[in-house]
Formats: sequence, C-alpha cells, structure tokens
Amino acid sequence: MRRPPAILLVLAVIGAALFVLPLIGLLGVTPWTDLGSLLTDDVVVDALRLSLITSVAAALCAAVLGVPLAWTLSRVEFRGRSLLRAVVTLPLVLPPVVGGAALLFALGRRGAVGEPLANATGFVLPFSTWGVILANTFVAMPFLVITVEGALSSADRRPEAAAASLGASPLTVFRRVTLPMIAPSLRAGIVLAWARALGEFGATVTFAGNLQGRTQTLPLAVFVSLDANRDAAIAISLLMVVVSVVVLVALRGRWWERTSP
Amino acid sequence: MSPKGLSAHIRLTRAGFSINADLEVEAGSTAALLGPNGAGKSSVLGAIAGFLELPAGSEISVTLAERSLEDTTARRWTPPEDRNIGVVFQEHLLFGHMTVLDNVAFGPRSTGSRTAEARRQAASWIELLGVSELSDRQPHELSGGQAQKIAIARALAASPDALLLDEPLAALDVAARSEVRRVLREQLDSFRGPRLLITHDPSDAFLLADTTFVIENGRITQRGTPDEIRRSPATPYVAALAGTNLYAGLAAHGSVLLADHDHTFTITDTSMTGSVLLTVHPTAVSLHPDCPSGSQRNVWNTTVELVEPLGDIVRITLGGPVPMAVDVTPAAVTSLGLRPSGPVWAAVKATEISATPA
Repeated sequence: MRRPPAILLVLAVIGAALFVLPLIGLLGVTPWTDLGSLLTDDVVVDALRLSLITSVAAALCAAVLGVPLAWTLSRVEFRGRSLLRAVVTLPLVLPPVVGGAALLFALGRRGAVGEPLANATGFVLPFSTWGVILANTFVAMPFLVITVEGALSSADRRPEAAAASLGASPLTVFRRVTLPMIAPSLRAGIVLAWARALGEFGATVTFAGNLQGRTQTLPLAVFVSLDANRDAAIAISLLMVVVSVVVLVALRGRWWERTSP
Repeated sequence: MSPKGLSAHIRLTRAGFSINADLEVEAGSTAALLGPNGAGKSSVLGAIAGFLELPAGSEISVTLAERSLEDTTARRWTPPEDRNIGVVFQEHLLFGHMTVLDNVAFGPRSTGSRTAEARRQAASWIELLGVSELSDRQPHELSGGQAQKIAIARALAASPDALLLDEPLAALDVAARSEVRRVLREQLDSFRGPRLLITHDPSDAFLLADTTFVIENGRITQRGTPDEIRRSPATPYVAALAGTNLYAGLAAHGSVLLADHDHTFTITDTSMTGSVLLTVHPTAVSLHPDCPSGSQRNVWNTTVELVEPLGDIVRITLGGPVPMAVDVTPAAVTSLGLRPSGPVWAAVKATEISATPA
C-alpha cells in the first residue's frame, strides 16, 4: 500500500487526540484509592440505576414511536411532510435547555396539555422519572427517525410487492418483510438514541429537575458534584465512560458491524 | 372467454410513453407477452398485479375468474394482496431473512393458516418441485436456479387464481435456465388458472406458451400460436422473431428427430441426449436449384411457400417437411427463380444449428 498523504494523517492524529486527551486527563486525576467508596455512595448508585432505566426506556420509546413516524415520513405522501420532517429533526439542532423549556410549557403542570392531564388523572410529568424518560425520548428519537427513514427510503420495494402478491396485508408486509429488511439500521438507530439519552442533560434538568433517586441521572450527578465533591464528579465521569464503552463494545459485533449494507 | 380466465384492458400514459393493450388468457392455458425491452411488458404486469401507481387518466380493467379486480370507470381498485394473483419475478425476490421453508410458507400464513399448517403446505410444495433438501437453507445459500424454483413454489403455495411470470428465466445461466424451464413447464401444465408469461425470448414463448401476444411500443401488434405468428409476421420485429426458426426435438448420437415435423437434423454435439431445442438463424440457410454437393450435413428438398420483401432482404418461407424462414438477397431470388410453390433445395451446416437442452 502507498504511504497515505501526510496532511491527512496529521489532521487525523489531531482529530483522534481530541478524543483521547480528555480520557487521559480523566484517568490522570482519578482518585483510584477512594474509587470504591466514591462509587458506592447512595447518590452515585441512585444516579446509575436511574440513568440505565431512563436511557433504555427512552431508546425503546424512540423505537416504538419513531419507527412508525419514519415509515409515515418515508411512505405516506401528505401535505406538510417536509415541514413535519423538519420539526421531527429540530431537537438535533435545538439547545436541549430550550427543548426542556418547551416541554415544560406544553406538558408542565400549567401547560396546554399538562394542565388538563393533571386535572383529569392527577398525573404530573415534570419532576418525575417519567419526565426524564420523556425528555430523553425528545432529544434521542430524531437520531432513530433519521436512521430508519433513510433505510426505508433506500430499501428495495420489490420484496414488499412480492409479499403483497402472496396475500400479505400492508401491516403484515411491514412486520414480516419491511422491518427485518431494515433491521441493521433500526439497531443502529436504537444504539444512537440510547447513547444520546444516556448523555442527556439540558432538557432533563429543565423539564424534570434534579431530584436524587427520581430525576438525577449520571450527567446531572456529575454537574452537581463538580462544585461540592470534585472526586465524586471524576468517579462518576469515569463510570459513564466505562458504561458507554462496555455497551458499545458489547454491541459492536452484533449491532454495529452489520449496519453497513 | 372461459369463466375462470383472466382479461385485462390497459390504457395508460406515463412519462410520454403510452400503453394500449388488451389481453385474454383462458384458464388452464399459458399466454406469453413477448416484446423487446421497453415495450411496456412490465407496466402491463404491474397493472394486472396491482403494483402500478396509475397516472391520472388511465383506463384499466382487470377481470379474473369473473371477479372484477379493477375498473377505473367504476372507480374500483383491489389492492394486490386481495387479487389472489401469484407473481414470479425475474430476480426471485425471496425474503432474505427467512429460510426457504418460511419463504414458501409466507403465502399460506398471510392468508390465515397457522404456522405449523403453513409450513406443512410449504414442505409439500417444495417436495413437489423436488428440492426438499433446500428447506432449511437461507436464500443467499441458493444458486440462481434453486432460488427461482423456490420462488415458483412460493407463488404456487399461496394458491393463486392466476399466475404471472415476469421474465422468470432471464437472470439465469444457460444450464439453470433449461432446468428451471423444465420445472416451470411441469408446474404450468398442472396449474388450473390462467398463466401469463412475460418474456423477451421467443424460445421461452415457443416452449411454454399456447398463445403469444407480441407487444411493441405499448401496443399489441400480433397474437396467435407460434406457428401462426411464424407464418404471417405482422411487423418487422415479429418477422425477426419469427425468423428465428425454433424446433423442439429428441437428440441422440448427433441427430435430432423433430417433435412436430417428419425430419431429422444433424448437429455437432454428439453427446446431447433427450429433449432439445434447436435454433436455426434464417441467414444460415442456403438455397439451391439442385441438390448441393458442398460440405453441408443437412440437405433437403422442399417447396417455397412465401416470398416476402423485408427491407433490403427477402424472407422466403419454406414448406414441408420442415417449415423454415430463410433470408436471402433480392439478387438470389432472381438468380434462383424463387417463386411460391416452386421447388428448391435447402442446406444448413451442422455448425449453424444451435441446440440447447429443453
């Protein structure tokens, strides 16, 4: 193989350093001897449990709602489709704090939807674990919708026609032919959504607050601890790195590799 | 029109290309829709199967087994899954994430059978096609010919009222083609409903169909049996197709006894045995006033039936013992004194006769 162009290599090394240096920095300041007691602290254990529950729940919600949404955007022709597509992907560019505020105005105790909901059922979303899941889903679902819609739009439609000619209803075609065909992209979309939900901060803190055990996820715990207990913040950061790496590596063989068509 | 037959009337214009085609296929018979690429064959199939997004102003009516599936004047449209029309595609289009067995069971399952019952039906279709050993394979583990056989089994297992075959042999290599053609012919023969074969290959139409519709530029230019079409080609395209002389026969030791004519041809391949299809190009035949003394292995005495100018050549149609189209120059017509009912000697080299297993 010929030697790659030097300029590309230099830029690639700088790019890689951007990811590697903060990790080294984190490992450098980690209080290794106290790590055990820091990580078994109530605050940390609660935040880890909550983060895992809410990020997985948000990824599942994103899949259950996002796949039909992607299918509709890809397969149904209607007025305002482009507009809807833009709105759905808005959370990708919107600052999460703004998203959280918008959720609060709509679904908060005094919100347009939240107030009648609270009056009718007594169910209040903000400052609850459900609120965390909702905020996570809000920021994470666009990743899944974009991935899945792309797969649906580029998928071969002829197997669907073949299935219809065999007597399969449109829902059966979707379930038994379309969904398995786009499975690699769906898996990638779920992983992306889960990763986004795990790191979510702004929308969560705005919409759901920062209550230990109910809404305080790992990123929130890091932020709170940075002032009060720097070592704890470092320990939690390290924990997040480990959780992320373990999950991504564990899924790599089965989920990532097959995403390329 | 028999009560179980298929009839389709299709008028549509898409991207400046218009299709105007009427087809009728009797139950228990096979019709071929024969035409060059871009003639509108796929649109006709799409319209009958219900796959086609119809442009505004289309006039379509499709009737199958006395049931009106589509009638644009009555605003009636039946979705593909309710038409009960089986389709075999050029590329088998098996579902890549299912085993062969589940692919074939897909139709019965979709129409309400329980999984076990659907698989039982699928297994018996796969067995009928003689490929039981493939049941547990994934589609990507199959050869082209195997995959197409499974696609045929899948279409039949849904017990359709009619069968559409969209260039089912075009994507296969020569060996697989004759094998799949054999399976297809068996299955078509035992299928009770109407069957429509879409093809650009006259030998498929000749071997598999009872009637052929020729489609060119979106219009049906001729319909008839292969013999009828050969005897009186309506357009230059049909003439060129019909001019490809095709004969079915039985081969043994380098000789082929024709199935439909009292004649034997000599071919070069002495190893070929059993059913074969012979192709003789009209320019490969030479005509002579007397018995030729050359090296040709196939020489016979016959009469001229027809003399037709076709552009800058003249098509001579020979009569018995073996009807054949021969293309000669206008000069040869004069020098040989070719005229209808006149005697003539015909000769073909063995190397000019191509034989494929049928």
